[in-house]
Amino acid sequence: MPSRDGVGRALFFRPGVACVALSLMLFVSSLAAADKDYPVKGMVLRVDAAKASFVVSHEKIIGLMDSMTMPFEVRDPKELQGVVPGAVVEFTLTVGSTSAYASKIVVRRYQSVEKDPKAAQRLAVMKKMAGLSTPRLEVGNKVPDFTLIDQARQRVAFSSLAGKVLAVNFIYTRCALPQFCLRVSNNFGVLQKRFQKDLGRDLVLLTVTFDPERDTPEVLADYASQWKADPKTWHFLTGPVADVRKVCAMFGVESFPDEGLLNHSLRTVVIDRIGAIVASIEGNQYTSEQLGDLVFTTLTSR
Amino acid sequence: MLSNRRDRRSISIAISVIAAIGLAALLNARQTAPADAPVSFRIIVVSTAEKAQQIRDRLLGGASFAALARTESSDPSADRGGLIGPVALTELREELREVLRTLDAVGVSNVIALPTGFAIVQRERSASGSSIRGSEILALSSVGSVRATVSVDGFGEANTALNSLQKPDDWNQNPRTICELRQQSVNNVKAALARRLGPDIADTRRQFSPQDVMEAYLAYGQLLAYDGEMSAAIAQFEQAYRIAQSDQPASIPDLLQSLGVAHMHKAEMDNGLYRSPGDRCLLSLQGRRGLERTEDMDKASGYFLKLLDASPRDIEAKWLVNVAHMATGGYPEQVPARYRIDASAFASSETVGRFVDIASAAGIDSFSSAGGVIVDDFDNDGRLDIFTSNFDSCGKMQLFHRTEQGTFVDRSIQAGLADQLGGLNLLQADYDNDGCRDVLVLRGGWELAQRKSLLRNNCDGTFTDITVVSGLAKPATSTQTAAWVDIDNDGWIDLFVGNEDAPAQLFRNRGDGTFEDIGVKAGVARTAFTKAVHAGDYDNDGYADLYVSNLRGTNFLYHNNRDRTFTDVAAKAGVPGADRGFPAWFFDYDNDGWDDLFVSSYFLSIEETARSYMGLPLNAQTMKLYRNQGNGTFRDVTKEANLAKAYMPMGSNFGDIDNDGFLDIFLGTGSPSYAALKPSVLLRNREGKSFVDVTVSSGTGEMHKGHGVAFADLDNDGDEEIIFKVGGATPGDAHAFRLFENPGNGNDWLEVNLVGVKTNRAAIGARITATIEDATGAMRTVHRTVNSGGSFGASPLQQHIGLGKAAKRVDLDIFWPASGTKQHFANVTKNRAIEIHEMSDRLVPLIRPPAPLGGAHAK
Repeated sequence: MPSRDGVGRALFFRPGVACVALSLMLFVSSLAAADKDYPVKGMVLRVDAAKASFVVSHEKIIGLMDSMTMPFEVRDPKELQGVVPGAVVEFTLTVGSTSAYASKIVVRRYQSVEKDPKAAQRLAVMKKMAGLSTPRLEVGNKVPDFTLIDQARQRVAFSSLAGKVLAVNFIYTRCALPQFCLRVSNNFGVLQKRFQKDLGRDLVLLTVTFDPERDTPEVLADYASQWKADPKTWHFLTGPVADVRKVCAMFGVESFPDEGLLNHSLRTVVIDRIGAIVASIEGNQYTSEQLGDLVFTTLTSR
Repeated sequence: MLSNRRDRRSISIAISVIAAIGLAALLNARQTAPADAPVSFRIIVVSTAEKAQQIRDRLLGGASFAALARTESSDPSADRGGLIGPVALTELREELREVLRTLDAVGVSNVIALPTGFAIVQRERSASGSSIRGSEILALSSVGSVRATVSVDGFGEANTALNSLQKPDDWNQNPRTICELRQQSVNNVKAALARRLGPDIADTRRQFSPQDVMEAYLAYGQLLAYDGEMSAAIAQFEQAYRIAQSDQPASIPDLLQSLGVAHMHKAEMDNGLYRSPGDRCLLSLQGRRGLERTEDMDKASGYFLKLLDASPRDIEAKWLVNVAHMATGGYPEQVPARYRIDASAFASSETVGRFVDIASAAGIDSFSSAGGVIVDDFDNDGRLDIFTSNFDSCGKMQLFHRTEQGTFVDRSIQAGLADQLGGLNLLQADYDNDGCRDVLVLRGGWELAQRKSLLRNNCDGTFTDITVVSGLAKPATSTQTAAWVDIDNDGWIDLFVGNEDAPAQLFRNRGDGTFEDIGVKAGVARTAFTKAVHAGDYDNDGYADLYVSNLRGTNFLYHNNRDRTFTDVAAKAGVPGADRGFPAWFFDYDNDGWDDLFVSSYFLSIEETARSYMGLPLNAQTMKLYRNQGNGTFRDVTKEANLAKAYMPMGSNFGDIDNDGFLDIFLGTGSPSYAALKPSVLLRNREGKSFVDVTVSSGTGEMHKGHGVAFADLDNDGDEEIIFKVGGATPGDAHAFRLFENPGNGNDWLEVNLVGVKTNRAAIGARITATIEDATGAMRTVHRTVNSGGSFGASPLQQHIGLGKAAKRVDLDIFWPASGTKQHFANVTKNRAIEIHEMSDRLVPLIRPPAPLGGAHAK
């Protein structure tokens, strides 16, 4: 079981807590005469189609509650089509005197207005339409085994990590724009703190470079030292160019040379204990708290 | 959230600085720090503004900043309690700079939006802390906020198409195969997109999201633009714009920019600006008034103005709207006052006379993409020829032979160069010491690795490709920079090659027509994205040292250990360069006998160039001038030399345009994007102290993309012309060659051709000192090292030496590195060409009658 330190804001998973939160919400709303709508935005952590509900790590709901993790119900299970863990969603929460439900769920696809990710996106679409790209793994797919080399020059086989939850992101150390690689690395730095007790035992962090020519284990070790990353629990991975390319392509990470730097996509992947993809998040438009909540949800799922 | 904003791509604009305002009221004792005084501060970064506000409240309530940083901050500084510093305020992002400037040591800042989250900072009392590595401070540094915008050129799309194509082994060993695969890959993708977006559009719309369909239109438009099919490209961008308007409002600014740039390029192409540029492609304060049809340029202005109306602080759009009006003759009056860049931003405070482009009159018919240029005498007839390459994979090399009649004729076919396609840069040397200049072709820069070519000059007007037998063919690399240098003074010229993301190569010349790569043993086989290598003996120990300029990370200064090994002493010597190095060279700019270093910076940002002209603070690092202090170290004199600017230089070189003995600099500028229209820059060296921009007064401000640059006295009238390969990275951005004829000056000169005997025959690395007594009896010295000049473009190996006004007496001293011998020649007759052989006490006058080029200054 994950330790208390990893619990963070996700207390609701303990029996009864969610009910308390919901009752509180309904109590608040019962003071009002009629149903009231609130716009909500957040990251989906779990979807239970059978129960027509989904769990969201949401931002502050103005006039209702602070940011936290909450389950929401939908009246029509069709509303949950296309809603997967890791998706950033916006929806309307209608709170009445006896019930609350979510509707008008919109999945917000990552859309950067920055030059680099836009160029990467354009080139990826171009390759796809011209039949030049390989398909990537989707949520629910089992990840095939691969072996790369970490910052301590140790071979890390994906299969050797079976039984643990994995969070994977992709960077290159020359990345010149702080809102991309540095930001996603910082996110893992936050995970490292939050899940200190789980790391190694239940959770392993993988940061894969997509620039293996330049990012040798030594270069990665230097980069990793910024976050005091423990090479046993947070592996920065590189390896033979072909192997690294294959792993990146598998997860849908593409990079394109551009004037000495790389235009690249951004992706953060969470993998469960049986090696299946739980979430594959594009972009950088989520918070480290939301990512942590997603990891926590995965750690506590059976 | 970021996804919701409709503003421009710029973080600095999109993310508002919540702080600063109102802060002053909070402070009792307000202290202002000088802009570049180092400060130390603590920072906490969290993921939401809400959380940052809560932390700020706790700090105001007395919580420890360092303790909260440790537990709450996502910045890598968290473990140090958020401590950053000491760091100069000028190195920080504007958002932080402004806050820290006015913050005292007890105040806590308001919440500041940064690319990595939301921050709160507090000043430290003293500039404490330890130095912090570049990457750690990236989120906070000004460099991390350099703004790049969407480019229109299709270069990335075409490279991706070639990258993704299945290619046979050794495809990159044959220029013709490279050409065919390049065309095939682009055509394949164009055909696929034409189908997907044409007959199959209904299917495509079903299978792909509107966002993807929009991107596909953009990609197709880019590939059409790559080939210069601008009308068709514009049609695709318009389709994408429609989707943006209905589904993707955040993309509207990018599309306005793309449409504006595409119309601008179309206007310039359709009006023949690139084929017969004349004065119409030059920076001019009166406006260029060159367009017969202004419809597309007016449309371009319209798009840029629309962008500006939405984001009035968009400096790049401001630049482009001014450039568009220059083309139509509407600058400056017709540029709305609020967006006008004042003409004084470009004005020259000095003049060296007006240069005139006479390429066409001189018979140089060359219209091509980027490329290299060598000016030298390839057939030993005493007349300088011009050799030029074409970056286009299918583009031909051209050898312009200077005829007795004075003009140039293209002899490339007769010279056996028909199969030499492509090539971004060229360099000459006499690798086999047979007295004829050979040519090295560098390929693959900015693209996939490709074979270099070594072309042996057969001394009969023809060349033979001996790359394979010489041992230079494999491995193929991506390169555009090399230096011919005799590293061990054995009299055979060696070759140092800088590569992009591959180890550098040091080819030792075995003297039998073959080379061996000793890079690893020599300690120089480091992998970097190298854009310039250059040789010079900075410590005057008689052995050539090497400088390596890298596009990312620090540069290398390799000290020659005199045993075919080198040691990087860049840090100790104080010559790290700017973070994005491109052209770089050793030259003795102050004539003190010690080689100094010029190192450029190449931040891909039109905004930074515009800021340089407009006198606004830069986010990018500037180019650097390092003065050799004669003790193994250099001093950064960039500011006092008036070079603290960022220009995006590519092809560049140095020479003495006014024969005052001090080396001037010419920078060709640009990038692949069709938006990157910025003038090339001519910097006059003012007596070895500072550099003055004489671009406008000299008429050399070519707005198009500047590559290979050479300085040479082509017409034997005693002054140096500027020979300039103009053209962009794509087939759709080709441009005519420029030959800027020097209007002349009253100063004296010498043209010195050295011939080595023990030293390599072309005398590369030999040193010349001219000691001059002028009419008043004042003495001066001018120092030259024999080489082809800077790192991108090759001047003749014979050295043109300006002697200044009224030289009464000229003495020459020559140092020959292989033999270690010295020669002294007293009372040398000025204003003529001479030849000096190693180990000989004779000075041979060369007959070089004036040979007018048929241009404006023909005498």
